[in-house]
Amino acid sequence: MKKDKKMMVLFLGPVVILFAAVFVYPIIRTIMMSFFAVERPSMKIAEWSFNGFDNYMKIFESSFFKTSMVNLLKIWLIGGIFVLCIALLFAVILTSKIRFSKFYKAAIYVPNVISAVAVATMWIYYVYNQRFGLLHNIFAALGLEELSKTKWLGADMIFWAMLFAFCFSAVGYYMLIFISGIEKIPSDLYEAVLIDGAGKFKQFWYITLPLLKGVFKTNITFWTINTTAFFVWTKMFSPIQSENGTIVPLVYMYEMIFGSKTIRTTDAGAGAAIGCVLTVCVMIVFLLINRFIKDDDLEY
Amino acid sequence: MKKKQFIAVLLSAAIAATLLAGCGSGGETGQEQEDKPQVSGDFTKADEPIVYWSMWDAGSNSAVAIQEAIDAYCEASGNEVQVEWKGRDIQTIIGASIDAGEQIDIYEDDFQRLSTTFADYALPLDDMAEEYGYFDKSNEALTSAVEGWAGSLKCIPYQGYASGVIYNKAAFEAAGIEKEPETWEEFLDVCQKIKDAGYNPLALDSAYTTLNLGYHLARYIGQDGVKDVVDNGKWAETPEVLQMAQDMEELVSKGYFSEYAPGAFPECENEIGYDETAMIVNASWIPDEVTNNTGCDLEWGMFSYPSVEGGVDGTEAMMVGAQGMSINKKSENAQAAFELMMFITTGEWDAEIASQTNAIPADPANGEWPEIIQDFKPAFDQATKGYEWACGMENNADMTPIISEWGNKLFGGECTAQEFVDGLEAASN
Repeated sequence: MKKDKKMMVLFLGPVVILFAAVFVYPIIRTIMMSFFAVERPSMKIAEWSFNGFDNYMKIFESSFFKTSMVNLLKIWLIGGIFVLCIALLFAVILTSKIRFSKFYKAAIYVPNVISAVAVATMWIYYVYNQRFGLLHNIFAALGLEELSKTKWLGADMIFWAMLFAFCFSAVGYYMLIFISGIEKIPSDLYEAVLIDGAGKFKQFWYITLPLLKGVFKTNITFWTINTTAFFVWTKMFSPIQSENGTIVPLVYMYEMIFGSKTIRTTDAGAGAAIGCVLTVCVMIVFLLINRFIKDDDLEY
Repeated sequence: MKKKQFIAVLLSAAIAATLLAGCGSGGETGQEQEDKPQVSGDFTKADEPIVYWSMWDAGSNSAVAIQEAIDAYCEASGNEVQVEWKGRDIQTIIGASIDAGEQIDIYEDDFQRLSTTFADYALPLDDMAEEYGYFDKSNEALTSAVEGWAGSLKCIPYQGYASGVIYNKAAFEAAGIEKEPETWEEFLDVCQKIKDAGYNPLALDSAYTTLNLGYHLARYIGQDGVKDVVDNGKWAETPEVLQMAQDMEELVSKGYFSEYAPGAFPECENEIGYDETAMIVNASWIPDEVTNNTGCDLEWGMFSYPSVEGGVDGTEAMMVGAQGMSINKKSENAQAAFELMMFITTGEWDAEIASQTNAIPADPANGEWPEIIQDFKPAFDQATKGYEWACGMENNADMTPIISEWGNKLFGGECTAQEFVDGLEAASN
């Protein structure tokens, strides 16, 4: 078929222009901004002054940023292992022809449909509350007085309380992706190993798990992107004042760019540097999982 | 048919003339109109609708009250006002919007942010304020703070707040306390009496840990001293820091804080509404907030944060603040916008807004404060020295989360005063 170049330009032109304006330009501007002294993101480029790596030095010297990066790493690693393991477990169970599987799928996915603000509020007020919370009531009913008095939102526990609540909401999303991957695996593979005498665990270990490598790559990439954008949960668990246990890089970036109750000199250049560092982190993770998880040898 | 067309043309011309002239023109024409603002009654005629970006959410108490004031202004002036309720996230859009050439005449935010972060966008209002006699109708502590930060009057403060120790009067009565404490010793005595009467003396939520630490340390070394400690990491070399921490430790060890303190906001402050806890170090929004949260019906009192022995500052120093309104320096309706701001923040409508929002009136002539905070006025009136938010304890953004963490440990009884100091000293280095 003869290619009609005019038609290609006509159809692709608007999309390319829009993509360049909405994605490419802001990305280039942000990268550039990270090497300049820029007070506000909307300042004209003529008003910027080049300062090399000063913005990067500034954020890497900041204890706020360092703590927030450690928190983010913990969320990504510990939360990631927890969420992906539980999501995989649920996916395997719900694809093994149990009764009411549709109901369970919907129930586990529900927190993803509800706003994160509402879910976080539920956890803060109805689960972690020291006086009326679910955990308090359960431990008190079991006679575990000391545990019932635990300050779940105190300085020592607030990170774990926030992480658990976040993971609870995230499981359903990754579970559905795993389910779609499992359902693509041909049933004759399972029938073959069944004839060979493999039990459920061996079916999972030798069939399901190896054939889900591609899905794992997808889920880890999504998880990395989602945790990098971690923001709302921090704002819900520390609504007025930043706390060491809940701060993440995006909160620092937000305060750098827009100021806060006590940050009165905004620094969009440093904010852009934080954005670039986070992007590099996501790219490194993406490259690593592509390097270590190979799925191009799979055919089914 | 021709007659109908003629009438249609006449009507069109009349509508166009009305649109151009607005409500009530001054009768001047040509060059005179260009040189001199048109006046309708006591108001300057705005050529275009005044565009007002508010920091409140539509439907909130403040938005409803301000809208009523704006409606009254429109009726009185004949000017049109376009209000956009942007909510608290206005701080993220105001700069970019003005940079992008958005036509905004008035915008609101925290008065300190307007005087610092957004000061470059604002029109200096000193001359207009002078001409209007605004300085006789405003709180000097607030306007001088604005001038101090921005170098000129870059915003008009309103909905001010006062801070100190806010308490439930019934708890004081039950404990037989007749005089509000002024010194730390008297305060400890009050705490003991309240505890003996069966109340928790003090509530504290983790969101306000730095405020409590800042207030106490500022009494010892003043706000500048607090900033010096926080900015330069002088935790160990400033003996008053340890003294402050020991004072807080004493409150904890004597059981003066609620067993749930420091709670997750607003967990502990709500205890006052449940009639379990008597006092909280916070600001004048507490009665309204706690009443909304718990449905309580309390009589509230407030006294200035007590003075400490050998301290630099006494009860005359108080953390005060406000919301503010600025005029975009590119505004073509500056005079009319200023008059609208005066309409809202002084006189009758200031009193009405304060009443509807349970806030402190911006105009000192409005001596009657809303009932729920009416007894806060003496403490506010005696204050002659203003502190910033947290009295300087949040001056170093890098350190704030760390101070908050150690403060929560100290108030939670999880570390000693010395460990608190050592921890912050180590973190600063």
